[in-house]
This record gives sequence, C-alpha cells and structure tokens, in this order.
Amino acid sequence: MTDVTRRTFLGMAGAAAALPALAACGSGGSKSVSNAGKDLAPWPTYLPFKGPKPDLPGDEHGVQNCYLTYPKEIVRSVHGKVGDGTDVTALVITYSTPPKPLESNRFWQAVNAALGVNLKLITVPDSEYAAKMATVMASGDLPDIILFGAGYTLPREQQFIETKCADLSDHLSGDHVKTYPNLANIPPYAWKGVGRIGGKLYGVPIERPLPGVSLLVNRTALAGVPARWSKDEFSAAVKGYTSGRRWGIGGSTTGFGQPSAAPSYHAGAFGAPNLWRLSSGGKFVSTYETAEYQEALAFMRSLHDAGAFYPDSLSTSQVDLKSLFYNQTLLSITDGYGAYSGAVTAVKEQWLVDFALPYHTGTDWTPWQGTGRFGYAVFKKAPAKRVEMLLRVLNFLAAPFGTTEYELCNFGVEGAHFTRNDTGIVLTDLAKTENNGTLPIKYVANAPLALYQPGYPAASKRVWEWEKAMLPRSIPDPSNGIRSATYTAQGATLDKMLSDAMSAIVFGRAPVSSWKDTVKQWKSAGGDRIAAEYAKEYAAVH
Amino acid sequence: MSTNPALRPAWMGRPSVPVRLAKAVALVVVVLLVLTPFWIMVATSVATADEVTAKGGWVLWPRHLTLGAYREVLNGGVVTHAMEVSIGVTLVGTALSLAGTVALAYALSRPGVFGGKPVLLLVLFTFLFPPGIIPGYLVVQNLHLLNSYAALILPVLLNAFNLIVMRGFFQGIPEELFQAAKIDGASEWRILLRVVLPLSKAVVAVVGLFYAVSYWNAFFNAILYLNDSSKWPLQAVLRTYVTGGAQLADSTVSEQAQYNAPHSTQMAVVVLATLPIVLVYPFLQRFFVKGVLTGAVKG
Repeated sequence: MTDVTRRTFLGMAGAAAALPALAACGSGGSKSVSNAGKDLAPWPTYLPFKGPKPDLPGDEHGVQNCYLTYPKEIVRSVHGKVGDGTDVTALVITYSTPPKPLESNRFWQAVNAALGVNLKLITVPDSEYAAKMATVMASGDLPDIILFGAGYTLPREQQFIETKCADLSDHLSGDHVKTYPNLANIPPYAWKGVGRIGGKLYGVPIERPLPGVSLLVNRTALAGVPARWSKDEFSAAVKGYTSGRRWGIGGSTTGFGQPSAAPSYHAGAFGAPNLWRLSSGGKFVSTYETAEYQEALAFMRSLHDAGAFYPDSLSTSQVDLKSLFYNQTLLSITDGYGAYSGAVTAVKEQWLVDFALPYHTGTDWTPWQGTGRFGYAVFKKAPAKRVEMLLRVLNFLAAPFGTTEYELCNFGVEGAHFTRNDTGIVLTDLAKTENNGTLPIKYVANAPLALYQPGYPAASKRVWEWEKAMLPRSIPDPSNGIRSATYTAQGATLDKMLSDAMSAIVFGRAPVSSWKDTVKQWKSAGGDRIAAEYAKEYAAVH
Repeated sequence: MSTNPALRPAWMGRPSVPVRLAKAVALVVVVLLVLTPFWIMVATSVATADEVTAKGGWVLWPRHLTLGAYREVLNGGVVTHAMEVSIGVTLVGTALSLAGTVALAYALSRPGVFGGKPVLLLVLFTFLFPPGIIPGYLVVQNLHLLNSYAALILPVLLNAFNLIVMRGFFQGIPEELFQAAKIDGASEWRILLRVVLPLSKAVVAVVGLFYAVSYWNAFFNAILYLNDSSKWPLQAVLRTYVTGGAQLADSTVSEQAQYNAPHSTQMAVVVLATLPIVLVYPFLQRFFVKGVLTGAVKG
C-alpha cells in the first residue's frame, strides 16, 4: 500500500474544500461552454441504414420502422477490425442486476470477441448514479467512455466534459461521420438533443424515439371508447372505471416529482407548449406561465375531486404503479415510451396495453415530444488513434435492427441465448441472466430503436398506429440540446418548487388559483434567468 | 419486600384481568405489525410471478407455492458469490473492527495515557463531522484501495459511537482489579486480555453485533469503491434487484431492465439477505440491553 504523503494529503484536503465552492459557483455560469460566438461544428450527416424492409415503415415525423416478424435475412454492417485488443473501460448506468463474471458469461465473451477489445463495464445502479459520477469527476481517474445524461444533469457537467473529454468534432461532424456508418444512422434529432458544448461535438447519443411521457391505458377496458376521445369521454371513462379498489388514473412519486412529467399528457391535450414557447421575438416563455398548463392542472384536480385519481399516487413508486396497472387496479398510468414493452410482456396480451391519444378539448393538441435521446457517451481525452478505435467500438454497438451485430448486442448468441422460429426470435432461459440489461452495453451505444416485440406483433402495430396519429401533431421542446447555467445549477430546486405546488393542487391541498403565485416565485427565483439564458443560447445555435 | 398483596404499592400489584387482556391484545397487535411485512416478504417470495402480478405486487396467501424465485436467484451465481463476499467482509471486518475498537477504547479508558485526550477529541471530531462522499473517495483512491475489499473495511474500521460505548464500559470496571493485576505483575496487554475482556463480554457482543450488522448492510461504499460488480457484496446486488426495474429515467422514456425481476425474485433476495441477521440476533439479544446501557451511562 502506498503511503499518503503530506502533499497528497494537502491536495485531497484542498480538493475536498474546493468542491462545495465549485458546485456553488454553477449559477454564475461559464461563458466557455456556451455556443454563443463560437464556430459551430456541423451536425453529423444523416445516412439512414438501408436494411430489411419494415412491415410498417416509419416516416419523417419520427414514426419508427415497425417489424411484425423478425427479418428473414439480416446483413452485416461492420466490416474489418474494430478493436485493438486493449482493455476498454466504460462507466454506464444500470437498471438491472450485475452481470455474471466474464469467465462464465457467454454473452460478454461473444461481445468481447466481436469487438476485439476487453470491455470492462463499471455499472452503477440508477439510484447511486449521481453520487458515483460526482466522485469519478472529482477524482480525475476516468474510464475510457462515460455515459452522461440518463435523466441526470450534473453540476458543471459541460465544464467537466469540455476540460477532460475528447473533442469528437473532427471525427463526427458533417461527412466525417460516414467513417462510422452506424453512427451516421442515428437520427439528427438525437444529436441535436445532445447538443454542442462550446460549439464542439463531444457526445454520441443513445437514441430514443420522439414520443415523450404519455398515458398507458387498458384498451380492453376501454372497449367502445374511441381512440381519439374527447375530454368528456376521457373523464367519463376514468370516472366510470373508478369503484371500490379500482381507479381511473394513477401517478407515482416519480411522475409527480417533476412538474413536466405527470401533467404532460394533459398539458399536450390542452395545447400547452412543450416546456417552453418560443415567441416571435426570440423570447422563451415557460409552459408553466400559460393558461393551457393551468387548465390542465384544473382538469387533473377535477379528476381527483371526482375520486378517479389513485389517492396514493404521491407515495407510490413507478415500479409499484406499474404493478397496479398490470393487475388492472388502475385503468391508466403516466409513463414513458420505454414502459410499453415491459407492460406487454407482463400482461401477455391477456388484455391490451396501449398508449392513449390526447383527448380533444376544442383547441389544437400539442403532444409533447421527448428529448430524442437517453444520454450520451463521451470519451476521456486520448490520442486520435485510440479515439478512432473507441468510435469503431461504438459504431459496432450502434448497429441497426436487421444486422448481425444488432442481433448479437440485443439477443446474444444463437443457440445459447435465442433460437428462431417462424415468428422470429425466441429467447432462452440463459438470456434471462445474460443480456444487454445485466451487461448494459446498450448504454455505451445503441441503435435507433425499431418497433419489434418478439411474440407480440399486434402490440407493435398498436404503438406504430399511435405514433402515426400522434407524432405529426407533436411539438419539440425548444430548450432541448441547449444549456442554461442557472438551470444546471438550480434546476432541481426550482423544479421541486413547481412539482410540490402542482401535486398540492392536483390532490386538493391548494386551490388551482395558487399556481400563479407559485409561478411568480419560480420566475423570480431563477425562471426568468433560465428563459433569458435559453433565448441567448437558442439564438446562437439557430 | 412484603409478599402480602395488600401491602404492595399499587404499581407493583397484580393487574386486573381487563388490564392484562388489554396488554395481551396490544402485544399481539404490535407483534402482528412487526411480523406482517416479514410474512408478506416470505409469502411473495414463494408465489408464482403470475400470481404476484395478478395481486398487484404483494401476496399474503400464495395459492401455488414455488421455490422458483430462489432457484433463479441461486442458480445465476451472482447472488451466491455476493453472499460469500458479504460473509467474508462481515467476518473479517467485524474481527478487525472489534480488535481496533477494544484496543483504542481500552487505551482511552485508562487514566494518564499519553495523548489520550487529543486522540479522544479526534475520535469525537469524526463523530460530529463525518467525511463527505467525495473526500472519502479521494482518500480511498489515494490509498490505492479502489476495487479492493479493503475499501469496504478500512474506511469504516472504527466507529466513534461504538468506541465511546466500549470506553464507558471499561471505565466502569473497578480500579481495584487493575491494581491487583498490576501487583501480580500483569502487563497492560495481559490486563486487557485476562481481566478486562472476560468482564466485558456483554459490550463486546453488542458492539460486535453493531459492526456485523453495519458491514452486512453496507452497499453504498461497495458501489462507490468497487468498479468490478463481481466483487459486490449481497446488499449491493440486492439493491439492484429491488430498485432496478423501472424509473422515469428522464422526461422522455421509462428505462427498464430487459427482464424485470418480479417481486417474487426480489423478495427471495431480501429473505436471503435478512436471514443471517435474524438467525444471529436471538443469540446476542441477552447481551444487548446490558451491554448498551452499561456503556451508555458511564464516562
């Protein structure tokens, strides 16, 4: 063991003393990470993969390609050498149990063999991700690849990336990305969702489809109710379902912990802007200031007053909320796009899980889009040759649906983790413990998601139809991909101020009229500064 | 003391039947409140995944008993290895912590030890100002302990509370015993091992239990300091079972495990993680009150 020298000790003490100060100075903002006044690296050229023909094609609005059955013929998308035989470390989030060790994990072994590197994943459970990232960022001992995002905005994240991470502009901007065709297949909305830092490209996005937080419903229980329902039909349905130990609509601590999550479905139905409205003068106006958002809150309150809102929503976890939905205690729940697949698998089409289109309220509906990305991978500063090798690794992991590389990264090794039948892929028992959830390579890089639900083609088709009807009307968040120093530093506190007030209104502890006062406080506490910073940054990049 | 009931003070009298009945009912209610979560935990762990889904996540009376969840947990190799790590860290950690605590508490309990006061103040300082996550990480990193089991033990080797309790207990031992031992020519080590420790079984058992439980339950240090998840102890693995699954990861999507561990599997891991402590506790319980109280009011 190495002794701690006096100098090391003083260094550590100094670092410890400096950290709170560093965190606190975030509100002051650093001009260096802003894109204003910088030469902007062009976005990577978009080269969509010409793979197997989908049964239901996607479109320019962000509707996904849908495959009802697994393609009969798949192609190879990566040719030539990928890795250089060295160790590659990557720090990623996980929502799963840890992987079996490499020596007994055939999936991991196969991925390593295909990549030509010894991939070492540092997996961090979601609940500890922020703490672990803070320590890693402070220590300076960085892995080769680090996942940022994943639902977290860390203090001085952009400053850290700009200082410690590799500038990928020369490798990925414009046509340079064509060297890595699977990264060129990542849609532009995902790159824009990651954004630039100081005009440069640093992150490779983990793409997610455009639908934002939505409403999952029990379509079987809603038989006879039109898919594009009216506000009254929605209201009647959720109230009609409510009786005894059943409720029409449920929320969770997670959904009500963010002012934009639980109300987003209703806000979109009432035509509220997606977090911000960009006025003609380039000014950012918060959705929370709008009459439409307040109308959505008032409507949610009316559902609570009618007893249709699950009363324990403010103390129920998202995991438990899903369980209550699966056993039909709840007719509908607020959840993200990613929840669909799990819900279909859990209820096995014994009743039909579906997403709800926004109810019509007599105004234009504005379903809210998501950020288009889950997170983004950045590299520790390294010589150009190593950066290129790491990009080849990401290029392999991002191979699109319908390729042999995708099959390996998502289903494993044929015969060991999956077999094929007439409808497509059938996963084996081994795949329950060896998969890209336990070994989360999908959070290092992944392909744009395609709609394919093994064994449940009708469920895939329902989502495709929902996307087809909803996405052309959906609107993006104009602040997506740009940064506000104030929001980075105080966003959590300011959001909490709003979500506490929102929860109090919806669950009857405060009148709807109190919302205006909350918004006034929020604006003076930082909301106005955030709006000004976004407006300036938006003008710089558009 | 008089055995005549009429001469006893009221509070020492035999309670009336209704009062005894009320006490019994209250005790039964409290016991049920304590046992019900345990029962639900065990019942859910032996229910089928479909039944758990149908009942909304928790099962009180499983209809079809199955040990499938335990097989799934124990077959994978991850949980069994994590259990071995936990047992090893708990045994080694508790032994080292007890040795360190006993030695330091004994030194600090003796009058006139050189530097005793400043060392005691340092210990109390850590009581009031525990290190933050980042300074703690930097210390472990600079000691080159990252990714080693020592990182789970050395940073938490001495607990100030346990040290104070033990020191208080040692101070309660009559001074005459020390003097007698010294007259017989015993060294400080001999006094500690042959006089003090045999008289301090209660406090050693209690402090040992405190250390063992804290080592057994620790997960956060493991996630911070061990990059290789195959080295994680059981509680860190357990955490991934019960907190994994699904989150609204951002305002866009709900990320989730590809194979979301059902509640039955989660509860099977919880049962496995709880069992050792539940089994050990009754054997130490008789020392518990005596050990803590004796140490708490002295010094």
